[in-house]
Amino acid sequence: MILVTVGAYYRSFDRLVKSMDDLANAIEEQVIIQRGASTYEPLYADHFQFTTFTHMQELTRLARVIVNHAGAGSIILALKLGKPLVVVPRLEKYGEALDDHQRQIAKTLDSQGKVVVVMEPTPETLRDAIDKAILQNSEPIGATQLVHSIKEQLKKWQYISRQAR
Amino acid sequence: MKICIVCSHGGHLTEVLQILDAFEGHEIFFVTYYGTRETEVTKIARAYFIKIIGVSFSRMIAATFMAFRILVIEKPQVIVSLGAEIALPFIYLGKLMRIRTIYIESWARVEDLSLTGRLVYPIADAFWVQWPQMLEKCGPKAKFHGSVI
Repeated sequence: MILVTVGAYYRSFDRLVKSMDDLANAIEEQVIIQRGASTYEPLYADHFQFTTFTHMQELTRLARVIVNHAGAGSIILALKLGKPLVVVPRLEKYGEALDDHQRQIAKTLDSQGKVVVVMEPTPETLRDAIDKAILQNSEPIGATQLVHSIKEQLKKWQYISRQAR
Repeated sequence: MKICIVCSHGGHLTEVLQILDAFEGHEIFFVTYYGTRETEVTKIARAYFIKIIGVSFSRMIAATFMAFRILVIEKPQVIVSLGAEIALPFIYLGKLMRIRTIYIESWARVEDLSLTGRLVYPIADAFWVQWPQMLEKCGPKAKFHGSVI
């Protein structure tokens, strides 16, 4: 199964939803699309607007490969579960986002070999990217350093506020 | 300490969930948007839900009043945010109310700061980014202390 997600954002992302629906028409494999605020209604793929995080985790676990909008949360979810990931950034020029930060993170992770980026999604470019992503190996990663630094910062402030009393 | 964690309901919330261990031993509560993840959030801690404020200026004003009420009722010692614009009223009011604030720019930001990041940079007590290459783009106050993944 191929899982496609476009995030919780209030703007539509029809470019990705439509191309993945066209791909669903061309292949045997099941495609499930979380279409969010997109206006295009898929004809060949299974689809829904939004769901709970728990459900999204289940779907991610079940999927063979993930195609998403290069949102940080969706990338984290896929990579933490070690899933092959294709990202299609929302672009400002199409009114899909306020700026092009998704393009930046997509390109950075692509150059690190963690995801495969597609800028202009068509059934063909998506199919090639999916085949390429399957070959990538993503090792699990964690937040140890950041967690430690926050703890230290909180300790410091706690100490200062006790001193002030 | 009592810590207010404020974030929007999609990826920013997912980022926060990666670092919950950092708040062990403290009392936390959430402020986030209505959506599909209310149950998930309230399983972790108490939470306030508000409507998305990024869509209009009047929503932003309304949210500022709501933020003021929440901060007066809860009296947190620290506000933590990983974005997005929902952080703005809380970090600005937090500054006025002498609450310590940590703003951690989203992991989604690799090359430049978000609008929220630029707006809170001058006033946040701690301002961290999640990619080292971002340090060149920010002022000297920005620090890199690792990332959510």
